Amino acid sequence: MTLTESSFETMFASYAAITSEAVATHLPSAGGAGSLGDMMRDYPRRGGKAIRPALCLATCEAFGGELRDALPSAVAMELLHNAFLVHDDVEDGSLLRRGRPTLHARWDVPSAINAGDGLALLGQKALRANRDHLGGRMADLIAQEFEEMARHTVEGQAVELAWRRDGVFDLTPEDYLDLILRKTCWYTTIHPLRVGALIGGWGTVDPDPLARFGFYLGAAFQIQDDMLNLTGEVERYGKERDGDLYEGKRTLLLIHLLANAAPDERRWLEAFLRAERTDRTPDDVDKVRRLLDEYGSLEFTRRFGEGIAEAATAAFQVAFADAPDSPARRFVAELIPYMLERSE
Amino acid sequence: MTDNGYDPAAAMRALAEAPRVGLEAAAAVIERILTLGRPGTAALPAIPWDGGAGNGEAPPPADRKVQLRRARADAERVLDAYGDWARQLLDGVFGLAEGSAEPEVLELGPVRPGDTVEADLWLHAPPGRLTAPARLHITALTAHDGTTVPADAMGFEPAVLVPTTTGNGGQTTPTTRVRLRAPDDVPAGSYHGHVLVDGLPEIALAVRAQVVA
Repeated sequence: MTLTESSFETMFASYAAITSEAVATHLPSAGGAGSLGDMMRDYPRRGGKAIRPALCLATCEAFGGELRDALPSAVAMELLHNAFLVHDDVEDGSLLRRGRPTLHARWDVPSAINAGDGLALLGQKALRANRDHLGGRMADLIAQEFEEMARHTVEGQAVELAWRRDGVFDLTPEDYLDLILRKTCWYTTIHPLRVGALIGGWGTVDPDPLARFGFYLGAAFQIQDDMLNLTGEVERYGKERDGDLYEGKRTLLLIHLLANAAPDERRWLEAFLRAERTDRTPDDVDKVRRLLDEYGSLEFTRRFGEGIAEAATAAFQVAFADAPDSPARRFVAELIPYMLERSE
Repeated sequence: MTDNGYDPAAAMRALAEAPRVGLEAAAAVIERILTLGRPGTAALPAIPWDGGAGNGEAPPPADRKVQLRRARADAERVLDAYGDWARQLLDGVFGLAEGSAEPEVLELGPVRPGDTVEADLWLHAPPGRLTAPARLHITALTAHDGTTVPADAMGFEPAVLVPTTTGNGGQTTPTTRVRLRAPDDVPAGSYHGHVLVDGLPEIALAVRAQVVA
């Protein structure tokens, strides 16, 4: 049984609105333009898709919990996500976020880092509500999940930064998957699923099948995101077109190209990747795009992601085998094609 | 093969193999990380949908298994609730909580004079204590120098709570939004008061509003 498109969208909007409303109660007063409060409110109010809280809340409900039980954790996820985005944009030198200038581009790098720290602290504060609402043991288990998520995320970010800093080029698809497992998938899909199931099933749900499902879903989503960075419309996609190329990100596309390019083109690519972001010109980026096309890197990446996307659907059935049919379970099932067929 | 070493035939083969390669690589990566740091974790099939009779389909949910897991979850939840309750009781009887636990306070603000601030309130009552819809009240808020914010500057949405019974026999109510509109002329400072509930005379939730200039 599946949800109709309208009921899926209604549920998604409802999860997003509940979270957004609860997040708003944690944010400081705005203050004047450029104040700390103004900066901390900026990203959360840009209206992201709220995939993480929706996944957490729906999974909690699917395993028999009440939405309110998972709301503090969903709020903490959203606040930490925004904190990560602020810092990530600084580290990557990104210029656009959700269709508008990044926080550090709008103000300055030190202020943006400080605002990101503030959002992370608010996330911690939101998490503390679990102690009163769910009791000490469950609050500790949830806090451990958050610690594990944060550890994977910073480790993944460290690996990627080191690849760029140290000029690492001999990478394999497995290296890429290991990176995105830590850097993106854990906190985007695995963590919300595991926390939702932990609360909904009150500690009785095996987290490993959820991690598998979350990884396949998150990896397929990230691969598609990498493709959209080259092919998406800025107005819909919300990020800088070709931003990954300007940033020199080791995406699966680039790893495939580096592995297949002729020696002279490979040398040119390595020089391109060693250069500072500001030294990479639009002509250089156009050349990389042409090479990606010429060597079939786009098509390879698309097909590579297709295999993982199929695995996500199968892994969902295993991970949610103990969850009886319900609108929330169907919502999570419908989230798979939503995440993997998006154009923004 | 072309002059620059590019082999279109090999590229085509790689393209055809890409879905399988992607799937196997992803399975290897997630199994490795699940196994790491978890000695004793039984290695599950690297590709759980491959080679089984269902070829990717999990067995249909066994109702009995689902019911047993739910029953166990309910039991765990009740045990946790009683554990927390017993701890609080012992802490209260023997004064162990003094100085160690923060009293529960509903924080409002910071808010500027003339602005409005809101916070969520959830009410949890001991089993059997709240059986009918309950009206909420709030006292005036008072600062250290006696300055007050009148009670009518605050309100609840909804103001009447309808309790529901939770799985462990306790009672809970929907979220209530507490709203404060700081009077235009109120000085900056910390203002204190209480939320009270019809039918629960011994319960008072402390409220602290922070007014900033």
